[in-house]
Amino acid sequence: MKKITGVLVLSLVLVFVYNSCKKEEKTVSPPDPENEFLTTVQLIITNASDPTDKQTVAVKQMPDEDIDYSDATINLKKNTVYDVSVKFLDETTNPAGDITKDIYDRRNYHLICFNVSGAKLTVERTDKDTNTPALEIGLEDKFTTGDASSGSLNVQLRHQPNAKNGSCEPGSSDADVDFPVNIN
Amino acid sequence: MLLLPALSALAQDCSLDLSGYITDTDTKEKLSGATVLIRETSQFMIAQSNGFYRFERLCPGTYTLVVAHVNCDTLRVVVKLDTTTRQDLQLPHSRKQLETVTITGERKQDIATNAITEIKARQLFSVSGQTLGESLKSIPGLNSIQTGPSVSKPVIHGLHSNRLLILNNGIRQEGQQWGTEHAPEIDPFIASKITVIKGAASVRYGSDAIVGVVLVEPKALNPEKKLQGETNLVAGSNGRAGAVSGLAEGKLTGALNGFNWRMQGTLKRAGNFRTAHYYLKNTGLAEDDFSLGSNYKNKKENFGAEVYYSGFHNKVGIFEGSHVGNVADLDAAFKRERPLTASFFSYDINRTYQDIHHQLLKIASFYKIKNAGKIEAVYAYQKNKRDEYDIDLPYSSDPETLKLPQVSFQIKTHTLDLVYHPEVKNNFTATYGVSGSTQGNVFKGIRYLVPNFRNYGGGAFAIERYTKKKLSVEAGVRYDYRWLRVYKLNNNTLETYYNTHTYQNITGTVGNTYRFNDKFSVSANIGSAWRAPSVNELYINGIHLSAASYEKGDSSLRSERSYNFTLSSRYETNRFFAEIVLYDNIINNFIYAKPALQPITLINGTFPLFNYTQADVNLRGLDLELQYSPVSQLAVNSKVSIVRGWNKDIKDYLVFMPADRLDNTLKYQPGNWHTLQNCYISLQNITVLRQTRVPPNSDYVPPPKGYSLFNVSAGFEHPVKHKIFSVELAAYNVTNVAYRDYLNRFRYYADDLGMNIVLRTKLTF
Repeated sequence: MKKITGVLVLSLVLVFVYNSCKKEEKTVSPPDPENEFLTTVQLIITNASDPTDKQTVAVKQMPDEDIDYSDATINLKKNTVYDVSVKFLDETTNPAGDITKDIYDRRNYHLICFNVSGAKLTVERTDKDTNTPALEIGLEDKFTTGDASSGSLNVQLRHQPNAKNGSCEPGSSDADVDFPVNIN
Repeated sequence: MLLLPALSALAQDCSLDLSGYITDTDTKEKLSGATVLIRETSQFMIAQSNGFYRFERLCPGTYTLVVAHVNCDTLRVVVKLDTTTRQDLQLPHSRKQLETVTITGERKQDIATNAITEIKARQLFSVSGQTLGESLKSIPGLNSIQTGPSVSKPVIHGLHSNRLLILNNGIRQEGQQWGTEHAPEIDPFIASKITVIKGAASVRYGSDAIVGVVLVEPKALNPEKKLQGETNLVAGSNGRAGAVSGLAEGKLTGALNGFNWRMQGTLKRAGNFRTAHYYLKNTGLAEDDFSLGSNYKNKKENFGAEVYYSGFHNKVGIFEGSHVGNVADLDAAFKRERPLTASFFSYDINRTYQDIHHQLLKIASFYKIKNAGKIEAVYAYQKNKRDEYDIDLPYSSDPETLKLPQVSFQIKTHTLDLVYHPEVKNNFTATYGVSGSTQGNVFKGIRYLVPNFRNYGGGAFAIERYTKKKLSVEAGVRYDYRWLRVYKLNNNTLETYYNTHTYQNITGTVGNTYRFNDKFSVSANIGSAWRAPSVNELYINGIHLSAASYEKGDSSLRSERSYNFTLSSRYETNRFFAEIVLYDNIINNFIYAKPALQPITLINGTFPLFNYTQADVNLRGLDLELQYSPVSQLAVNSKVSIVRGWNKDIKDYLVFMPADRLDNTLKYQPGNWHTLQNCYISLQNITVLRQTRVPPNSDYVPPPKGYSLFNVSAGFEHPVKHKIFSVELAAYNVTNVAYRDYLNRFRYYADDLGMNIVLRTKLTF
């Protein structure tokens, strides 16, 4: 009988232990402020022969919201050369965080890839990383337009750790967005 | 101290003989080649061809005989010797009969009419070093779902994860079981026996036992000596893998008489595994596990207590070529003949990897009440920590943030079970129990996956069995209650809010077994089981990275319930064995991720969308095993596993059901050869057909074509003084076939493993 009592006392102690445990789950950890979310792919497009002819377009997606193309349309003049900077932003914070710098710091693992469909547009990357031999990055580019046309430009941020070889194939996409393009 | 008994023995008449015949309990055959060891004196001998053994010049005393034979379970017999004695020994045949379980003194299953299979002794040795999921594939009806070579989960009758319960040393394994890439955090080396119960078993084990239960059971801690144990060494050519596992145990004497102790530990290491034609980059594994146990039994053996602690830790590399950002990447990966990743060998484990810790503390005790039965209390605490590091570093310039895992879960579980087995009376046996549990889950991570939660569960059950002559009948009922509170953060206000869910279910089981004679028996069981929706099914909202899919949970999901009908029959003679299991598992409110018609477009690309929903489904199938020995040295064994999953609501097949599988083995056992015992050589063919029954739009690519693999193995046992040394050399996929398996999620990216040569050794002392 003594032993049954023992078992019961032990059970009660354990039940007590249950309830006295810290309830860590009640503290939901907020997002790490140091971690940046890639919310926006931005193109800053400047006419190479007219610096005042400058436009900024972006495809944006805030957490739990649909993707936003309202500022995404690129309007270009025919037979013109443009200097283009690609930016990646975290707009969940104010002011927006700039992820471009993180990507540039790890430029030997990243490649920006462009695919034009429909429009008469060619894209050349103008920047290089520090791989041997140096490979293109694509954060800085030259757009050259042809005749009037329209279509779309697909921009991908390829993440290629230990695999970058100049082609878009290795690795995976951290960003993959389409910009509508009009050339007039 | 040690010399004393020997000295006192010297004074006695040490000229006694102990001899006898060893026969097989079931077949009454004389067992040639059986080994007999006297624990106390370490004398060892092999029975002659007529099963006769004889020890000479023994002193009077009490001896423990350990009798082993390749076809049989090891038997331990205590003999009190005061005169020359003739002791015939009968060895139980190591078939899956439940009867053998009682003979070896171990506990019967509380529900015995389900289809039950055990893996132990020689069979267990032949799978040592493998993951738990892989180890069980020799059982008809079992499969494994894999994420590359090192992450494998058992599948019973087509289902897995939280529809299958795993008991680690009697305790429900609690981690993040819902993920197909979350393998059970258990070191298979702790087990001396793995029991698989196929069928709904909620009545005894509570929720989640929809298709069955896997019991990973260490040997009872009951050593005969002050120090004994075993060491295992396994080396595999593929992945240049190695595993070392050791176990030491002993009984204490003197003032501490009644106490036993055990220590056990395992180290595993593997590098990049190789398919038929190339290496899989970053598929290494590092694992270190240990367990400590101690128990006490009083002299009357009516009270006992046990403490057990185990720690599991592993770091598993995830194949680099499986990393895809979106569906475009996945499509490109699938179209390639072979992955783009470099093919080389290395032990390095880089990102992507999982780092997992699991700790278990178990405190158990029993008390036998005179003429009233036995009461058991078991408390357990488990802490599971799972960190997953993506291939990408997080976007941050903060060095601390760069070190963080993208996904981190910590779940702590307390369970308390009280079980009462009343005294067997008028052919009635019974088990009554109550159980309670609480669990707290904390999610930290850069990518949101699942919320924090707390749950409380409670249940009570009763099982009665009536056994008389050829018939046994059993019935059981259980009630379960579960309370779940989920804590979430409002991203705008940063305030925590919660949702509460409650679930309650009544489950039952009825079954009977009829033994027509000692060769032929038939069992039938109807059981029900339930499970509450898991937190991912309720609340997941995000990209499943390795599957390139976007999953959305549904917080209004209800409990899943299954009604399982099993009919099994067994026929066994001297030369022939047959077992057939037929089942129909009807699952109502089956929760699954249903493909949506529209994909979802995110900033990182386009993903197919899957919404968690419920449907009524059924899984039907057949497990068949046949064995024939034309002569005692030769055995032909065939196993067939067939399962069909059907969604009754959409009138189509269930996705990811195992394909039909045939496993044929030819085994030659010449017995003893010189000093080597129980020699054998076997040739195995495993043929898996193509899965042709798949619903549309549920998968990216059609199931891979069928394949046929050949495995060869040979082994023996060698007595070295008082130790037994077991060796096996096995070659898997000897023809180095390049193949892909439907249940391996990496089939999108790469072939399955090529040839692997494995050397296993075990020394029992």
